[in-house]
Amino acid sequence: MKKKTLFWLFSLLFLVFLIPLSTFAQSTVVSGVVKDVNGEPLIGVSVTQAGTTNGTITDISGKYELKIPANGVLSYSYVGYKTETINVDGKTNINVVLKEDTKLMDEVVVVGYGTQKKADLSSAISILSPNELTKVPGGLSAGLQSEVAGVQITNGRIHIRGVGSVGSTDPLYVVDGMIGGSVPDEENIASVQILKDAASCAIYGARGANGVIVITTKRGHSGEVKVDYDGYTGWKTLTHEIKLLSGKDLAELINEEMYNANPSRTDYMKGLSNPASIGKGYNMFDAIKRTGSYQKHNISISGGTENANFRLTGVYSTDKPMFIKQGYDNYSINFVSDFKKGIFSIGETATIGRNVHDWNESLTLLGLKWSTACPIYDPTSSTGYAGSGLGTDLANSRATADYTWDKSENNSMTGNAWVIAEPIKGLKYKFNFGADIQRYSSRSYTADYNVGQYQNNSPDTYSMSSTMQNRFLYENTLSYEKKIAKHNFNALVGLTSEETKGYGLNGSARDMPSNEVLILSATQDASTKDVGSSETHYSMYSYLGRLLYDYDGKYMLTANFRRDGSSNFSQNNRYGNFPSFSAAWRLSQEEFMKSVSWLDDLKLRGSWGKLGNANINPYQYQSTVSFSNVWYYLNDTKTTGAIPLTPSNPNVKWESQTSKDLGLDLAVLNKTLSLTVDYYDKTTSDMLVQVPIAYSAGYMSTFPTLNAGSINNKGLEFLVTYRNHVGKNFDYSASANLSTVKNKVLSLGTNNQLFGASGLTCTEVGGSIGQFWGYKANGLYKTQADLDADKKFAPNAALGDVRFVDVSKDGTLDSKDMTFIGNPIPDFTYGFSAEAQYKTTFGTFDFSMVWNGSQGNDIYNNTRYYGEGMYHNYSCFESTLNRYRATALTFTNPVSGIVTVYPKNTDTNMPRAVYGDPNNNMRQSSRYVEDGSYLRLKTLLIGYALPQSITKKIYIDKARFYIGGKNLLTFTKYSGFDPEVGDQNSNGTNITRGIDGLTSWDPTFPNSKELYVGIQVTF
Amino acid sequence: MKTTILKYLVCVGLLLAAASCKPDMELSNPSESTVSTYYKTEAQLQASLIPAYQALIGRDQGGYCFQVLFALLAPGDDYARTYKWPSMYQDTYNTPASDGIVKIAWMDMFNGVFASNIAIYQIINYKGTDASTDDKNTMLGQAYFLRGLFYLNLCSLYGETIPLYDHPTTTTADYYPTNAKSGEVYAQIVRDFSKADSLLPVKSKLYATASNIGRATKGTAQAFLAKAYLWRPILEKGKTAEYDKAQVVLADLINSQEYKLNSNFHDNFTNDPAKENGVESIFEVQMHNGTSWMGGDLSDSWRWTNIGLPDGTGGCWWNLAPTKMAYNEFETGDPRRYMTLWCPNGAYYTGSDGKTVTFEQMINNVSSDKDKYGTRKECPDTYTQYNGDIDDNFNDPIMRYADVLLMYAECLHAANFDSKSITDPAGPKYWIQQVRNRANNIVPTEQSQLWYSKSNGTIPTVDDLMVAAPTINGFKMDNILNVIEHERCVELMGEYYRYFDLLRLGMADSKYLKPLTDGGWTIKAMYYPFPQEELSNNPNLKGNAMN
Repeated sequence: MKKKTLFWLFSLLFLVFLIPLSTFAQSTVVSGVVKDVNGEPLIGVSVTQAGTTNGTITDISGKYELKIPANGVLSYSYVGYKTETINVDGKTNINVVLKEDTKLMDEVVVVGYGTQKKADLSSAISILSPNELTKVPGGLSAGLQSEVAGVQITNGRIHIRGVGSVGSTDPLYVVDGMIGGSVPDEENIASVQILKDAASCAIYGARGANGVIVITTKRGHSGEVKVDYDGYTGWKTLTHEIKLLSGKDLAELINEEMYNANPSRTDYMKGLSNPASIGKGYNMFDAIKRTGSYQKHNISISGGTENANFRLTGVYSTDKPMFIKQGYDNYSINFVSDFKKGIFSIGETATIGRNVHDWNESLTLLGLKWSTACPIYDPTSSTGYAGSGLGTDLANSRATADYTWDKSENNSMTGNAWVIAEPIKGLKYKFNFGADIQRYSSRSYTADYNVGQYQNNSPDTYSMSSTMQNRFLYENTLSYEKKIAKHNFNALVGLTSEETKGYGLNGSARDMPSNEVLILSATQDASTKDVGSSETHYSMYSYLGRLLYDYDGKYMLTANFRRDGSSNFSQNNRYGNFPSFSAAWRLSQEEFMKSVSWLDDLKLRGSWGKLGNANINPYQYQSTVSFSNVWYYLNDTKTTGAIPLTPSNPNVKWESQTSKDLGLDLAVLNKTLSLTVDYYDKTTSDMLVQVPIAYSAGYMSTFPTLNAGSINNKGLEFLVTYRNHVGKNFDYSASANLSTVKNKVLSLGTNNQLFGASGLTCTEVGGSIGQFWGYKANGLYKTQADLDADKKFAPNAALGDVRFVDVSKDGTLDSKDMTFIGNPIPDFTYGFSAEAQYKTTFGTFDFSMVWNGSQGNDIYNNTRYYGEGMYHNYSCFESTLNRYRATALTFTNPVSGIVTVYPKNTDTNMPRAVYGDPNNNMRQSSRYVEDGSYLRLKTLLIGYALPQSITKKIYIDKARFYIGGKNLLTFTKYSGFDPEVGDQNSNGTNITRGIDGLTSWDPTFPNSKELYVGIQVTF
Repeated sequence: MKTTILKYLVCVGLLLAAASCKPDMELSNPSESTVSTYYKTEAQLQASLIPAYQALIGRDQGGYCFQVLFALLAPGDDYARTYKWPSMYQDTYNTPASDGIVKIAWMDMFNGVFASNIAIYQIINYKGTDASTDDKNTMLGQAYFLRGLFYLNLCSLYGETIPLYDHPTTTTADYYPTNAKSGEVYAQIVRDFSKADSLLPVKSKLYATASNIGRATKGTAQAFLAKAYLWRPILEKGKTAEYDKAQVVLADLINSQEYKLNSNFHDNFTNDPAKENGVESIFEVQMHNGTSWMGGDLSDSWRWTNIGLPDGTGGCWWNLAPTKMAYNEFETGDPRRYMTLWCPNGAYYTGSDGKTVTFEQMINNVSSDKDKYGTRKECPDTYTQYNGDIDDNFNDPIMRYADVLLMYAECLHAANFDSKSITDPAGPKYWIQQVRNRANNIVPTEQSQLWYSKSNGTIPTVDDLMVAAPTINGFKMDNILNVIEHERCVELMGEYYRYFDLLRLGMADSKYLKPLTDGGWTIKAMYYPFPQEELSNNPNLKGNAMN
């Protein structure tokens, strides 16, 4: 293969030297002024002789002057404006008015290893306008979610076109040609394209199966040096608060729990015997919560000449999350430049980044469990904090926040540099070298402290870890573009390789000399020293090729091919082949359609392709003996051992995905209205599934990875955009998108179910992935007749307990009665946005808003497990005030003699309160499954730009102020913190989704209600 | 022309770059070794035994110290769940197959079977010449013993239809095993302990090398072989105990003179290195408390946290607690009550703040379950330095000489020697009395306010007990078997025996099942169900009556 490639390259290069260079004709000097539709001069417009590199740029008054053949053609191009071409025809003065580009058909789209005109695309590629990215903080994710059909962000993770695998399905990011490059700051992004179908992704072969997000960074431009500044600051709070019972209400609840469990008892807790005296009580969650804030400053300097340009950007941002003692600081410098010298173009994108993250184990969700009858502070204790009491056994989250800290920092250098040689027109050789260098270190400290019986650490503990990972990418591509009459050809071949190596080191010790001298070797107890290390190594080697053909802009054909080799697979299956084909027919270019005047563009697209996924743990094909954590103490001395812990699969091979796409692009009414519709059907086969084997085989819960499963995703995507203007000064646009996904598991290898989230989800053949699993709750027992009917399988139930369904009808309530109780996958997701711009003499106002929504998905609200448990002495949600009570109760507390009157309450779905939960009302059941549908105002933004008449006077080009909000309005029935629940599965597997509060220590609140103000200035 | 040459040079250079960049694709796991290249030295064979021992603790904080502890203790009438863990089912005889304890105990113990099988296979097939026959026998004996022990526990908890492995799992058939046939598991347990008995050296010989302290010895194999014979009604349902065989092997063990009772009861349950693996100890799960959080090395004991002090004291979770029945089982004047339980007039606890509290003060902190107690046996009395992370380093003795003596007494009872005098070693009374005598000894190391630190315990002799014939928790002390059952309960309380003693005796005489049936037990609930996931993962396996 290598030899063939060499031969091919030589043959093409040989051709290079047979082709002569172009010649010049007689010249004249043309000058003029370039303005926009408002008559404002445009600075930095590129004025070139079409088809050559001869050109200049306009100065501060929009003036230019260029020497050009008298019969030449002038081209005026400017970012964001439509390019104008004018025949010189001997004229010496040409003034031009450039119109803003509506960015529809002439757009150039960056595809894998090249670019294409959008009009010529035959595959499904969505474009996210860079304007969308800077509307809100976190604009890339918000834009993908709201503005692109077929992209779902659930659980904080991006899914492009459904969930194709039980494993990780994060899309691939390609930044300026760097696979897995670091995503630039939103202000630095020039374009974002989302490759969705197999035809567009196949060029990324084994890594394309989850979709590819191709990003390019803003480059420098020829002309005067410009300085851009964009900065904002904002504040954030929870989108929705969960109210807790007051101390008084909780005390009453617990007394009632105890009474209900045993009416004759007398041992009530003294601390709860006078509820009224506790009053409002103490809210731990509030004690660790705050109004979050953030800011970002992005400043860039750019400029250059025709043959050399640069852009240097510095970004500084901080984020103070909504919980105390947490923070992020990010710094980055981004440097891009481009050079031209003869046949060579040279460029690079490099980013040096530094992220500092502070956090601690403040156990956020645990704060919700802290009894509101228990004080948080105790001035008499050594720490000032109170320990848990009144029958509860929690750590004081607020104390944890003060006595522990974790800090991490990541220093990275990512980027790539390339050389393009174009020895003859159309033939380009590109060598691209990428480097991704990551240095991560983290430090954790837990002080020597004692807060009550459930929270001690003595002596103090300090640990440190660091990992270094280097990834290098080498890519060689050769492309050739040729037009013969109406036939356009574009061919590409390439050879790429990638290697990743990483090393990690960690150490810890206790009993530090002081909390300021954190040197592990200085520990006062050498026996506590602990050290560990890790190592990773991974490589890939690939061949790729593409052929584009179009005839007269009417018929387009594309064929892609990639052959990937990965060290994750054994020699037998190391290489995988990933072909794709696509075709398009632009009906609107046909003669017979030309008479349809309202139709501007109509294109039909179709594609087929095969993609791969190599996302598995390496070395699965080797049967290995593990030494990690294998030891036993003999004579109190650590004696290490070895054991094979992973059942190997020597035949493990690529996961492959076959995908079909049918699409339609339509533009009508003078391109004011455009529509894109796509239908896709993709099937993952040979899915890498950890096929469960018997635990009795002895491998604990480690399963062999087999190519066993199959999953199908089908869906429809719509995107409609309307763009128009009223008069000269009012422009507006609106767009809407909607996507559906139908997910179906076709096979899981053996006839098995896959359980996730400790059994809260089940994935079964015939169903969709990761559905919720549990008992079916059917309201509450409200009559004695119901209790009698279920006596056999619910012997401990009483009025007000949850009535579970004996699904198997075998007279017992056991695991056979567990069933599917909800689905985290929505029926459809949608978004719509509107934008308007109004120009006046005193400035330009802009307005935009984006809505997005999800319909038909369920959420398993696990925060209610404790919040509405009513079985113990922990805090409960305010919703439990509405708990069931079969009859009114007048309760005289035997300890205090205080009388509490509890009214009858039977018209409710909230179970009764009872100590110990004899009916196990808390079990995993449909009781916790809620409708997760929502519609939310994702962003609302109002901006004002000073008119040029003013900016000129203060020597700036542009000044805009803006104020915006994020997630200001949410319409949902969901009772938890946020319907866009955080992903608590760090492995990103798709069998654990849509579960809110799965663990108490790792909540993610990906969404917050935010308000921000910002300023953009260009000098 | 000059530019042409330049172009050539550039192109050739770039082509070289293209051709030379293929990375190394033949990578090996940098942190593991392949199975085919390992097990080539005696040291590597020794290393293969370690994970089998480790499985006693469990690879996921399981084993005796955590999940298995609940599985073994909770069904007994001497322990009950507290309000702290309302969803514990082991106590209710209605454990669902989806229960976590059921699954983790199963996984950890089968991992032990797997590790033992690897060791057995590699030792038998060892081609190296650096290991002596004695060394190989010692290694092999331990591997057989451990496999026998894991199956003894598995079979007691899940019944004899569990999958049976006598070789390392490698094939698809091993990944999806079928149920064992009746009697097969029991036969393999007896075979494994018998082989271990013949292969292993006695304790004094093996422990002469310090690095062997904690390993299984000939005595260990013998004691567990006897236990298997006695446990047969559980291990092979419908069959009776093989007392005659047990008597032979126990007599051999006693006659070996390798063991004797500690002079005081408390010395069996300390973390004093001088007393752990001591004269009375036949086999202990070896615990070590690392210095990082929760021990950091998965070798620590969680017993104190799980069943130790009452809630609200010292940070214990107190998920499972000794009951009123447990407290009442001790005769008045039995010092063992106070060494086993945190109870009224018992030992004091010194907390993390350095303050000393009495049991009465502790139980006052508890919001509910004020009628339950704490477990003091094998748990610390004082909050120790690295104890902030709720674990400790107390070894877990799972076979003591006292148990051997009581098993021997039971065999002699079965052989109809009840009438032999209390001074005649041929009769059961002699051996029971040994245990009762020791119970009355002064324990000078105990807290000074405890009366038995200065004066003897006052429990009567076996003869006097049978004359007085009190009824203790429903059993009248007028016959030898009831006395043995009572003595086992108080001597071995919290040592994972109670439920199985009632069960195996109850298979022959249903009166011993009464304490269980009073708590809701039915014959169906004799074993825990097979884990639900195990059954859905392996369609070849059928569950038991509880599934």
